[in-house]
Amino acid sequence: MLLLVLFGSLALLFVSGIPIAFALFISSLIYLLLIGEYPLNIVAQKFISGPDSFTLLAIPLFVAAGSLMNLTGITRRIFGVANALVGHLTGGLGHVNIVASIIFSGMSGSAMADAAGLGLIEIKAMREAGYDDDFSVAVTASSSIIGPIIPPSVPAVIYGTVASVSVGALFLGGIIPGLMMGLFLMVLVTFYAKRRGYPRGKRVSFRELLRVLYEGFLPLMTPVIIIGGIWTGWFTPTEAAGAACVYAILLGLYYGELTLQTFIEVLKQNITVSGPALFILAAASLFNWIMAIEQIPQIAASFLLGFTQNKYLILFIINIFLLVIGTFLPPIPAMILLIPILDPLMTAVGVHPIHFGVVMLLNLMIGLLTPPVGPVLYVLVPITELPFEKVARSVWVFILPLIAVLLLITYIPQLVLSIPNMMIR
Amino acid sequence: MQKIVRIFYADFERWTAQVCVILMAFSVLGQLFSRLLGHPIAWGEETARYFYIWFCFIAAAYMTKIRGHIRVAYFLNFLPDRSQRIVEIVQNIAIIICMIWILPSAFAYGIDVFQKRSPALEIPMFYVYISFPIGMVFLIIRCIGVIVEDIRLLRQFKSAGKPCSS
Repeated sequence: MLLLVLFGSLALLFVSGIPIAFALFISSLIYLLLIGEYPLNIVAQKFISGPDSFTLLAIPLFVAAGSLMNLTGITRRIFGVANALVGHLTGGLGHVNIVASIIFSGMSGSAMADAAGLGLIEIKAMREAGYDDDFSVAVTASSSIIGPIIPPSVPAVIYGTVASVSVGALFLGGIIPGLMMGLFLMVLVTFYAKRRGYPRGKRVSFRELLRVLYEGFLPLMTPVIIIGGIWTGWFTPTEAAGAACVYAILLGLYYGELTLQTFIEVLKQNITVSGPALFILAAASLFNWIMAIEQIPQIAASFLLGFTQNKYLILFIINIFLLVIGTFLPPIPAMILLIPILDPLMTAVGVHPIHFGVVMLLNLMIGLLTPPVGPVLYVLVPITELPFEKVARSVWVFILPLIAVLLLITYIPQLVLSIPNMMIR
Repeated sequence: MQKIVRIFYADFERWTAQVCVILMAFSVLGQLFSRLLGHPIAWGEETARYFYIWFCFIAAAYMTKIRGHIRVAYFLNFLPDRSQRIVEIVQNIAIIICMIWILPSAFAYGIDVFQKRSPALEIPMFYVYISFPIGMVFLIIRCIGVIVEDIRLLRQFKSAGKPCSS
């Protein structure tokens, strides 16, 4: 009965469109008042313990690094490098788009930063070269979610904190899946480009390629610093985020594109991106505490285990469940709420937490592309003059290769785990 | 005086949150570089975390002001504009009531731990824990501001006779 009130009020509040953090807070408060066993100051205690974690500090730092790269023209340079590398393939700019996203995802940790910064440049360039807008948006949107899979990754920081697993290992686990996503998307782009007769760019001379690489050398070092630093154990993820910020500021100063105004803009974007996620985390630590004392995770696990004990079937069911959830809930709140429930289940059937972490990340990121919510689409569609439905329809095709990667990494754990296992400890 | 209040009201939380983030970043970097240079400081991590906690609750108030909290807006968008405003007013009143409900206990919790000191810096934990009730006071003020804004929009709808986009 009590549980019915707890989850019923939560579902009702979600649907009413109240901010998720307050929905969690209010339904937890109702529960506390009904049960009457605990002092009210448990609310303050849990809210404060939510953001109290050194790992979480990586979020605003990675977000700041990403917006610094976007606002100081580094994104443009990356686009130039990608253009010189793959611009000459059939459907050239489609490939450039994907490769640029892969490079950028080694610097920034969120799909929205990729879509809002790099995405604008990419769609503009593709329109000028005569690509259809719906195709451009579909490629940009689907490649932008490589951002949070390849390290660094803001959602991975959240996953690592909530599930208490190593964020560094999660980062490294995303490398192969992220590259696979890029590769699969490029195959699809080639297919499309052949059918629609898209142009290919001019092949640049070797000398020109060297020149572009030389110009882009400093920005290209960012992923090396971040991933290398974490791999060798020099940096914790939080420190790597700090180092990335410093490096981005130095680059901005070096290229003379960092002004006080851009700096303030970066700080402002930072609050609006990391602030809400953090507050949900604070509210959720109260809600998750209630779930723990009511033993919801155990109940959920035994319910599903009573239905089937088969690891592969359970992974399949969880994947479908997450895909559905992901179409309505943004990835970060979805992760914060579901990790405590799913974690014991995964341990029970013997799935490695790092493996499951990357699967869950990719799964929920696909939700960023699907209507009705699809936040990435809402950023990109206004750039074009197309109706939302038309873009959404062409994006569906590009979700298929991502689902293929999802299935592969779900059933071949080595794709995720082999790099973290090589990590120097 | 009025002008000062107005400036304060316009962007106070944003500036405070930005200062918190900058100080946090400096603490993280201080710890990183002091370690790389071979003289690690003990308090870098702790300071960074405490500034971050302050950031969390002050930023929450700012996000309320600019209506930037993450929400599931999908179902709400089916309603006509006028009803959306009314639903949001009811939501904000509910948030205010719940926040006021827990505020006394939150202040009391901060004061209770006055004697407790942090491990590295040995500052009273009061200065950390008080961030939550203070942030929530700002949040309540911002909720009231949002309600006033919504009521004004509702009046506009009424006088215009047709729903306009907000």
